[in-house]
Amino acid sequence: MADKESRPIAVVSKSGNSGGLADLIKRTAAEKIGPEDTVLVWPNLVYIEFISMLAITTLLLALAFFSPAPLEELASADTTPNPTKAPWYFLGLQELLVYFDPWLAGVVLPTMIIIGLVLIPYIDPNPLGKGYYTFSERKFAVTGFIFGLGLWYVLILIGVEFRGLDWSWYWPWDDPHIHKPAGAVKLVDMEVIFQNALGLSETPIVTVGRYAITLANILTWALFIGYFVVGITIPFLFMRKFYNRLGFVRYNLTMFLLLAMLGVPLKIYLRLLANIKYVLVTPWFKI
Amino acid sequence: MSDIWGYPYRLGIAIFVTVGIFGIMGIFLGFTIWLENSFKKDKLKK
Repeated sequence: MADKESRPIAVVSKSGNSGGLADLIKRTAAEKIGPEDTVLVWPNLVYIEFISMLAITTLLLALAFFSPAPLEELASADTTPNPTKAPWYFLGLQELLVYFDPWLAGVVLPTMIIIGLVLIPYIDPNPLGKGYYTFSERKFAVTGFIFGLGLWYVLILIGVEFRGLDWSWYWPWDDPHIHKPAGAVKLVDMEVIFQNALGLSETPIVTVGRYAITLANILTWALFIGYFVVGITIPFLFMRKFYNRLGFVRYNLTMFLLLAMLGVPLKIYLRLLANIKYVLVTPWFKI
Repeated sequence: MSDIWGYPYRLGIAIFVTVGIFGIMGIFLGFTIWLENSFKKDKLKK
């Protein structure tokens, strides 16, 4: 007679279910693979990790050798460098300051990026890709993320390589010691463009505290809100499966974050190609 | 209207930003697809 201790805790039936507590937990793809399909940590994984470590160390040594970062003289308020550049990993943010209000470039957008990244596990219900590598099953998520990564890297690249004296743009073939002319382009707000194009009055319709609201100002609000409303509605109408998979809250959060991310290069293009300084102007913030 | 190609290189920067974003995307997506395919061909995987 078998005593209590030697009895197996769970007996696996032919269907693979033990009938025990473990059955209540949803198994991931990796767990469904039996031991015969798995490989050993040593040597298979540790070997690859060791080779990766050697490769990265070599790369870092080569970088340190060919791109030295010597300590400069002590900082002095009398001789501030021109341009004053942040460490490379902050230059994306510094570059955003060219195109956005400091409040937006320095506070709102970084906060939205961090919150957006934190939210990813909650707004992405796609269970595929757990425990194994896949792109084809997660095209939207991976492409969306890589777009943000590309945008960020380009901004850093511009800040590191293409910004010179007075934060002006210098191509590699430009002389970095010659100042560029200031104020070469006159920038205007979207509100002024609406006023001029539609012949709208500059007289405010209503004044709320410091905020004098003109008709053109209301139109810029409509444009700004309309960007998000249209951007959220179009996939809802034409990609209903996508909406159904995410649900109301997840869908709206995803689309809002996606549109905000796409809005960054859009605003950059508006500034560069249409000389628009701000799309929306209020006494408290400018976008 | 000022020369769009001249300083401050508005069109040049716009093209640079576009090509840069999609270029970097291409590199990362290419690597992602290559990685997925190479995992499919993994000899250790039965």
